[in-house]
Amino acid sequence: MNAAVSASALAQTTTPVPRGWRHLSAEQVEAFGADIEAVRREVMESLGERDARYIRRILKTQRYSEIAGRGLLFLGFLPPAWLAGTALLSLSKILENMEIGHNVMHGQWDWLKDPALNSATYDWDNTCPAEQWKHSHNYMHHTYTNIVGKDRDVGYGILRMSDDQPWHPVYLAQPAYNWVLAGLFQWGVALHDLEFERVGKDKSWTEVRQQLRQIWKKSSKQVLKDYLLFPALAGPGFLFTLAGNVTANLVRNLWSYAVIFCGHFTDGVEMFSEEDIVGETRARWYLRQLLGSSNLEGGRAFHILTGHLSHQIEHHLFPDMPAHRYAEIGSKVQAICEKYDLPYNTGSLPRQFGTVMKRILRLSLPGRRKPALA
Amino acid sequence: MNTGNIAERKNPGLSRLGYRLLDNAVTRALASPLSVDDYLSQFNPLWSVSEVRGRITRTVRETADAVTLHIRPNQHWQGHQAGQHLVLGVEIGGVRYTRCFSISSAPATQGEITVSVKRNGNGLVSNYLVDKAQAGEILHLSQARGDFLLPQDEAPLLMISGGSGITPLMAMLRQRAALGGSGSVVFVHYSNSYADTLFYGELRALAARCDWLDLRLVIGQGTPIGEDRRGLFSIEQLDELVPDASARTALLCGPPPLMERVNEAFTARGWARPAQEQFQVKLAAVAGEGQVRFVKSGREASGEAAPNLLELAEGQGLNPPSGCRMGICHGCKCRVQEGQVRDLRNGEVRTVRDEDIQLCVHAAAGSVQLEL
Repeated sequence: MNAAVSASALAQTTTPVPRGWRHLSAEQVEAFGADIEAVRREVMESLGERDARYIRRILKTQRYSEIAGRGLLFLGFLPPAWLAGTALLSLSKILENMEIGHNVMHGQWDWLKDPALNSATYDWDNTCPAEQWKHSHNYMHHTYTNIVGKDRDVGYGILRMSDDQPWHPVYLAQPAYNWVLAGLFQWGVALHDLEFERVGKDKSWTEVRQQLRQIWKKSSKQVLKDYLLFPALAGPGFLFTLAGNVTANLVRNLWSYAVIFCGHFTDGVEMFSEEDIVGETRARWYLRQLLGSSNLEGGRAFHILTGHLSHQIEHHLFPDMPAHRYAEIGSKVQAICEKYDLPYNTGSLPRQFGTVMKRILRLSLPGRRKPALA
Repeated sequence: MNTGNIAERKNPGLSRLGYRLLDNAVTRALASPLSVDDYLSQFNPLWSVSEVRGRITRTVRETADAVTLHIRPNQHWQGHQAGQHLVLGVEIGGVRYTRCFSISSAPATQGEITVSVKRNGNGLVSNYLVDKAQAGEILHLSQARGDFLLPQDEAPLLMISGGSGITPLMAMLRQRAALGGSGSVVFVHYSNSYADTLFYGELRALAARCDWLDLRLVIGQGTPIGEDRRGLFSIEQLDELVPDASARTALLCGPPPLMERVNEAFTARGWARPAQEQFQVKLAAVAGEGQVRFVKSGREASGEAAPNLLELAEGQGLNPPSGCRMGICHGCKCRVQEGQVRDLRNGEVRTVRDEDIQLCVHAAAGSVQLEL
């Protein structure tokens, strides 16, 4: 902990870019929290018809692109139809997982009182059961964001993404198996809540077996639908449909992997320790969410395709705010950061993704990532 | 998701057979983890493999404060009996609100049902339906429910209603008028004024046409015509209006004060309590007590903070599913792991464990652990 304090203090004196928050007094932190809270209140009180229209348009787009995509894949023996069908199905899977599923399960649309958009009942087109996702993601990751040893999204238990994780020779291979994770991302997400490193310690095998049964039940439905039923319906075009569906799942995997890794592992994102959250106030929680997240810049369509996780900072500050509002409040949050001399980590996808790859490479080797600062 | 071959069939929906073809193990697996409805509804909001939905075909203004909605339900509507109600969901500003309404039409009226709505104070839903609802709007409906029905025998009837409480009785009257029957009916209706009386013209016309019907309107303001009266319900007035009241089977629906007064008078006379439908539920005004823990969200609130558990949860920023908010539709049922709750309908306190309760008509009466 002391090392981290001196590191960010040093960073402050040597670089004009603000790093960390330790220049703020406790009162300033609370004032920052109140400013952020005011942004939240303003948006939440103005939710209404416009937001409802937005999400229903997204739903329509997703359903129509899925139906068109699957329809075109029945003509998959024609290369243009296969390409268009696969592209539309990929688009629909991305929209469904990112802008619909993830956000609905955060409770962003519960206020609509629409049973089809309710966090308690929605289930997404992903091999991860909604119930387990809501635990590992909504609860563990969003509450303990970037706390090494607590937030399992820090490396998903298989990658070394923070200096504070002890090195192990296995990590030498992480630049390679990281890509396996990327390609199979939804399966990684599905197994995430098993917390296999705890098994046999403070987690029983019975619990694991129960979770595995749930995962099997959920994932077998996707496998049946994408790899058996729809290909079978295509008859002689079985393989074309199968290939299209495999590709669409892969595209969605790679895309969500890239977006999500850019959310917390880019250069400048801070990691925390369990001591950091002892007696943490709401304002300090906001601060940790800000410092532990990073944004991606892009146009409106780009933001929608990322499920607005391109506004990871705003999402982590307000996980239950309808995500399409993040873009509107980004400048306000950024202005608050300037006011308190706090970093607002943002950049293009290639730039941010580049720093993530660098981190994965660097941390595959022993030692700390920024020895100069340690 | 192959909807092409049935797409040419217009509203109100596909045939029952069409829905059966669309709802089987294979289509469900193809739609999984979404439902077949999630796709169907995108083509036509009335299409559903199992849900009752309806379209408003026209709205008829009854009084300055009341409107009748003509609704054409889809194929899943199983019909109703006169006197029953339904749960109606309507989108206002994108948000779905659910309320209970009596059906005012007689059964089997050309594939349409009517619901008559009177402005209920500042109530959001009733004001919306009275002022803004338009033909073409889609409503989410339940099947008809309720056992407030026209008696099967031919015994003479006494119907007493007040305000919008006339709607289930109007359905019964319309059914009697349509099907005939020999038993006589005395219909006593209380309202503010003639101008405020729902179905005024139709009531007068029915009374003129049907010799089995005696109509007595009692108004709060204005000059009563003929046999009509002015004032509030009293047993003396009833004696005068309906001398053979004790010999009639009574049916009652109206605002709580009227219903209380009628019930008390009947009890005092030693008459059988009228069959009745209560639309504004009178809930115990007892503040909640104890601490409520929302287990899933990790939130906690003092039971005093809201009149019922539903509002308490909403005050915590939680959005549990909900419906009528008066204990009818069971839309807000939620599992209580353990705790003491008060049923606001009768004030009774009980200890529950692993039980589903309706949040809208229960308050905390001690520590409560809710699965929210």
